Amino acid sequence: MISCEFEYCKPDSLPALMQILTMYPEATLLAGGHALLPAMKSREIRPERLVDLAAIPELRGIRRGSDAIQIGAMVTTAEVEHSSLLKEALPLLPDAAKVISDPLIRNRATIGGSLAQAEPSGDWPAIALAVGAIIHLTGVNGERAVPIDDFFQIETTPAGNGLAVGRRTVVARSEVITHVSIPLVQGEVRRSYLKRMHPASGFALIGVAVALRLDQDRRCDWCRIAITGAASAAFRALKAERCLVGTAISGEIIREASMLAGEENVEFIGDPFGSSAYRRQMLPVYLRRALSTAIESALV
Amino acid sequence: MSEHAITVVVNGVRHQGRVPSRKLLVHYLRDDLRLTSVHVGCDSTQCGACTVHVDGHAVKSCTVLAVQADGSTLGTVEGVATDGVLHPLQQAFQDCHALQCGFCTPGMIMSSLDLLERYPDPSDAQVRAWLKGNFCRCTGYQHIIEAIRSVGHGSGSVPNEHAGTREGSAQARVCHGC
Repeated sequence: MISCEFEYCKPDSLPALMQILTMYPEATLLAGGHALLPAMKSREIRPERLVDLAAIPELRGIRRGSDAIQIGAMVTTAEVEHSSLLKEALPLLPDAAKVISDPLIRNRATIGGSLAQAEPSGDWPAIALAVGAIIHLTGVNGERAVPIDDFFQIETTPAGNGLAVGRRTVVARSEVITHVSIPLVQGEVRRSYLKRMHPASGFALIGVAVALRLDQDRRCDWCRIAITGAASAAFRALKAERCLVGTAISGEIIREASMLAGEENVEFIGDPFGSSAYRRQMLPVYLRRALSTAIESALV
Repeated sequence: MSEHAITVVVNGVRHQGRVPSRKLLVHYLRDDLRLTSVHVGCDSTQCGACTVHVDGHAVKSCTVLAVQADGSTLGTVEGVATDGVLHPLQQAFQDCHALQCGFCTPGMIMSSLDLLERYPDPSDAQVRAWLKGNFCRCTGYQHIIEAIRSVGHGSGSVPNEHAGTREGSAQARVCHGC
């Protein structure tokens, strides 16, 4: 399949990108291309101008600061998977990367592209929510940092070509994600990511990312739980989080919190691969397993 | 539509050409360079029949624009054998009867070379997880897995079903059924 015709350019620095976006605010940014190009080939979308981000050094690299880890937007999922820095500092990320689509796609697909795309069944949105990432954006009007809790949104606007295009994040036209920073939480934080993978597409029919901290009495004093694949955007299971924080962890409290996740006030999505009722029913099961896995790892 | 001059090194040979922006890498390799081992299978980023190396890593060339590859070093299965002598992985595919119709084989080889680069002695579980990106509709995969494992450095070692799944305090798993 061949996409519609388009203009293409490949700036080699962030200032050069900003010049292009000043001239062409409607330009479409190309990261790894593994969501964009298939959509263009099937002509779901027909961008007139692609700006390839691959040659911009400011968007690359994984670094560790004193209290946070920075991951460039153009870092591929495979780079996350094989990063020795992340294996040591935040092993949830490389572990989760291993179960994202397939290795060939991971060699191209980027963390920034996945977050900007915000697929309802994408993996990085839930993982970013669970680790409390901060999304750094640069636009023609300056820079800003958006906490991941404020990053995703549900909005549908008609595009110029007559096709409806959902805008799923707060990223504005002529803005680019430069990097993601992940605060390093003090103490012994336990994390896990568990998904029911669609066997062909590799997307999450349901995906649950959890991060929680237990004090010396096995009391949970900090917790973030995020769900993907269930609704039109990844979301936090706040009822389940509130149930866990301040309580001593037991099998009973894990079951109670997991059931509460199924009662979150979100509209569960359904498609030929899994009805909304199926996803609502699977969510507590997967959350219970994800929490048990994370907590078991605290006990060994 | 913009047209672009690109320079790529494919299987050690430098090529210069002009491509329209929308030309896919798989079509550039097949139609312009006549490297017809690179197959169009699903044309939708799933089957891996179009797998080639871009700067040493295996990617699906149906989902890369030719212009994106400008300046890259590319590899296809035409460049894997040396002076008519099959690469050990190719020989292993023949010895283990790891192909039937052969349509997926070039992609399987290019994908598995990247696997062996990252994991020189992969376990059964690692090979199976890796081949998620390459479909074979003939063999049932078993002989492909055997072929790949037979060229692992310590071939014959005990498969570790849990290799690479547990590190530190974090874990990630996939359940394929409940």
